[in-house]
Amino acid sequence: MVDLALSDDEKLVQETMARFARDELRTLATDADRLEKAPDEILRKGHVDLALAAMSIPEAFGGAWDGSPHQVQLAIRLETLGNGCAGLALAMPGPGLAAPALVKGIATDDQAKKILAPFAEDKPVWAALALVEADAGADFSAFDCVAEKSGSGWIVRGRKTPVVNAARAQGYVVVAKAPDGLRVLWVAREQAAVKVKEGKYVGLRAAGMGDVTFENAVAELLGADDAKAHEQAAKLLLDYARLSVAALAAGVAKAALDTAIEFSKTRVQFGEPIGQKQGIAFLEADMAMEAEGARLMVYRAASLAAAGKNFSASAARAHAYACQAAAHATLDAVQIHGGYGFIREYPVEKWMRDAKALCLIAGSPGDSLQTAGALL
Amino acid sequence: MNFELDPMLLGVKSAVQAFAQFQIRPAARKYDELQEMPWDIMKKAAQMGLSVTGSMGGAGGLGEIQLGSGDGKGGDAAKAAKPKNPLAAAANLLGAVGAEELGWGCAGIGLALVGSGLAATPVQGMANPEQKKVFFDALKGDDEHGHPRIAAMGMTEPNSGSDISSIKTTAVADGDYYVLNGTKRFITNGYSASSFVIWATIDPGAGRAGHRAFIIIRGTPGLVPGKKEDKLGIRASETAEVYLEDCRVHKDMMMGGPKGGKEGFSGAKAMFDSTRPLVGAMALGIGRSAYDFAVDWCKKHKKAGKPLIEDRVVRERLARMASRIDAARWLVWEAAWMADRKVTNVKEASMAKAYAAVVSTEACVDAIDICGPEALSREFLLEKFFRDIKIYDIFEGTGQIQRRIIARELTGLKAQ
Repeated sequence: MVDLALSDDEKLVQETMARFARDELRTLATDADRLEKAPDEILRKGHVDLALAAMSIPEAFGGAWDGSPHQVQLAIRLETLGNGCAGLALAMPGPGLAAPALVKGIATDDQAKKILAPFAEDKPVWAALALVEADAGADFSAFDCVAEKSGSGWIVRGRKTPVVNAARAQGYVVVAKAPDGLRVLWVAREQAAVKVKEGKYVGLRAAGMGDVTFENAVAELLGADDAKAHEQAAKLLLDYARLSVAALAAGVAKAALDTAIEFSKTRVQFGEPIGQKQGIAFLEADMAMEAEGARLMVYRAASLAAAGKNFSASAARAHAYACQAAAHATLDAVQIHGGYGFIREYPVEKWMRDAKALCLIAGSPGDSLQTAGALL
Repeated sequence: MNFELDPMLLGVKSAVQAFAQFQIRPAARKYDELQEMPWDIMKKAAQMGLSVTGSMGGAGGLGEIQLGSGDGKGGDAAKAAKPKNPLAAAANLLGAVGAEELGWGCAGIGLALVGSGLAATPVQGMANPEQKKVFFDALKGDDEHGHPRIAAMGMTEPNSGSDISSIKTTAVADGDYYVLNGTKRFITNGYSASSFVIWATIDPGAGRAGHRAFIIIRGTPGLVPGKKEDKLGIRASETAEVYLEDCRVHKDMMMGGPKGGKEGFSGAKAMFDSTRPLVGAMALGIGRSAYDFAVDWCKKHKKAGKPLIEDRVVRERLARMASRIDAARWLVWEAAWMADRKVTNVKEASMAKAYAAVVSTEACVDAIDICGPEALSREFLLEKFFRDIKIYDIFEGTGQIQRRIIARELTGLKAQ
């Protein structure tokens, strides 16, 4: 039965996250952006007080997730945090975008336990997803990064960028190419063969995005050495990464819309609030339609994932759509703010930059459309 | 959250889908060229139980579809007044799902099938039992040409389009009667309808507060069907002028009550909250048909020896169309779902309608771009989809009017 209302549990997640987003993330977002650093205190709060990492780690591995389908809740969480600050939302400790490989992907229970256990502790630690590449984006067939057998183990060679939380991660889930297909591997950060360069990105500046270069780095293959299973796992990682980014983007689009509306109600020109001008009103109506469309597409993809159905096309479409909705909404929010939109005193210019950066971390909207198009 | 239709709605959807594919689509070109109402298809639809005279939203209408149990009499919508159907609780969503399929088959024929709902919806919402009886009794059986009976709603006038508050048709009290004078334009089913809902003002100085809707039955002296329009698209749906020339209507046939206040105009607004998502759904059906056409075309046609569908640019454009069509569908479903839950959906209804029109117009234009000049031949239906979609950004409130409403709901300001 179609029911587009949030369940009580989902509402609770939304309310809790919204409070944190409004009272904490929004307040700190400007400074975090300027300093290109997420304040330790907010990371601790997200990690300890809100148990953001624990919520997606199964109880068996020390987390707080009982194993019931929670993809819609995760989408709501990211959308709501993204509404506060997408950069800080991404900076939160935990396995982040790498979680699906460790939690529901290919890792064996022993591997998952070993890698995930530290995230359930109070000390903030990170893992990162090293998936997209500079030239290939999210197009697996064009990947340069390779995985090779070496003795009884594996090594990884190549460069991944951008990687969220690149420098603070204690390890990476890497998708690389072996001669017979893709492999998903775990690479520990603490080795000389892993070089990290922090990036200077246009937006999401609190998210610690950077380049990670693997120079024959020692790697641990996640799960069994089965090319087909690894390709599936890689695809699933990309699906979840796209869904996550889409949720953040939907949050950014809504933030831009709401802020533009408030501004247009109070900004008076020609003797009346500018929201009374059709030129402004029409922009806002268009922003509202896309923001709502993005939100619903994200929830739709998440609910398919929760039902255990294939959601590749749905996630790809939601990603492409939400990224573009965020890009349009933030551009227009700056436009509606006029000169005020151009100064850092107001949040909209940051969101405009964040929206652009969001289009990088799980591949571009164009990559997603290629995925969706190939599934026709 | 749940985006899945339950089995009952899915059943109705596939029945309407089959009807659209096997009955409507094959006749789409013929009725487009003839520019005539598809009476035979309307009869078949009625036999299947797809009521052509029920309201589009609210109780009845497409919610009246009873699979395999059509009474075969056709057009009998009196029962729509008291739905016993469990589908009635999801009538708006069901209507949206069905309207998308009809729009996919042929938006003109689809509109001929459901256009009576434009009149039935305000009757369901505003009329008293006696008025409902008069309106729906006049829709029983066939008319003098053996055609199923249909209904029309007359709001628009030559000089009153988007600005519905400016209608000039007057209703002047004269004993137990009102005498109506004026011209209605662009009226769906206006030439052939058996029951009419005509909007007029009982107090031209009172603006919206003076608006009242009257039920008028075909044959009433002074109710004169005018010329049928020759149109760009939706040519299977009849659009005509209706003249009111000293047309005497009993005061009991005035909906919304005789006293002052805003009953009349608020009745009109309530009507749009139900019908806009459905009009959006039909637009969506056209967009999807253009998209399906393009996918099919690109699978069959090659460029430089390679199927078009394998071209990266083509793929990207098709996927973009698909994702925007998805977004529009969720907006339509959301607005309809809210209407079923009797939650205020003014903003969502306008978003659904405006967005579906934009997305589907783009889909038609993009499909033409992608498929190339050969696909524009009238041998194919793509050029028809392109003509049909335009009106969906115009009638039932233009895209600009919808955006004004959306913005008003967002900001509380009235944009000029």
